[in-house]
Amino acid sequence: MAITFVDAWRKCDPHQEAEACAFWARHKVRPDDADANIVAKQLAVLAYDDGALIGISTVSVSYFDPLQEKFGFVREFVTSNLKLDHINIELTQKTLEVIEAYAQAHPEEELAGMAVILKAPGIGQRAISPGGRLILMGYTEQNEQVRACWFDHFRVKSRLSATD
Amino acid sequence: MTITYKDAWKTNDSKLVQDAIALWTELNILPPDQKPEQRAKELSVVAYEDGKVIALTTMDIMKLEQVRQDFAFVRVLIAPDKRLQSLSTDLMRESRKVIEAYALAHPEENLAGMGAIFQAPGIGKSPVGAGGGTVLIGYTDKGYQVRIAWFDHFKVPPVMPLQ
Repeated sequence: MAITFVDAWRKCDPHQEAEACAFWARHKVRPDDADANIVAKQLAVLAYDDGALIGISTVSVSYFDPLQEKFGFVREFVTSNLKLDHINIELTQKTLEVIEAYAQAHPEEELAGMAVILKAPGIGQRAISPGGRLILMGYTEQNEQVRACWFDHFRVKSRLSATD
Repeated sequence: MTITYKDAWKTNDSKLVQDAIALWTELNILPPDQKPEQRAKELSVVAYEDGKVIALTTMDIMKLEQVRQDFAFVRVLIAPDKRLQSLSTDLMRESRKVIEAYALAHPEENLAGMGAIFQAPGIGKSPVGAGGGTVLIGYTDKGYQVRIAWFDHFKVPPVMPLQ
């Protein structure tokens, strides 16, 4: 099994977007019930096994309240017959590399890091994910773990008032 | 200069306690309503240079609601003429060693990691990697940084997501 990963972040490639939409439709998944065509604009990394698409990560950028910065929130779908830990972990790692490189090249976007919401029960017992960067930083209102990592190059501004 | 660090966490070592009280008294640093003997119960690391105490850390165990676990929050005190960033970093690192070893030996206490509130202006620009391997996870109401380091051995209890 030769797994390859393709950077799709902000490429706006109609072929990749159509391939992703077809993949989601074939596997009857609609990412978070959103319109597939809209989510296709958030494509980050595509994973292939000998040329066949087996997994997709998407990233939506939003403000992460506790950390008071913008983070890229990752969602992944890997075909169920290949749903092996190492594929998910590798896809997450590749996504992190792609988004971090993009953030470093585009400092004007002030993207501070990447985050993942773990929806599967029973996973994530270690507070620090494999790879050592995604760290448990809180929970959603639905009790899902929120894990995040800061990009190495990012620097935070002081939140202290002038009188402190 | 050679600095040595002594583990004081729950040791009740009278010499370490006396030296810590001497430093608190000299710097007049404790709140009026707190007795030194009470604060000494939180003593975790004492730093000496040429036999003289120059710095110390204390720890206060609190539940951090954001991550739903107990953390040992460290406070650092350094004599004014010794205030170097490197000493603060070393104290954090030594404090983590002490409290992590204690947590590993006492799993019944469910201590998940070490925390710190960064109050000094100008520190913590990098959100990762300050003393003790702490990571920025939020801010206090006053805008101080809240940082934590999870202990390597700690396992987060599984929580079922709400549907």
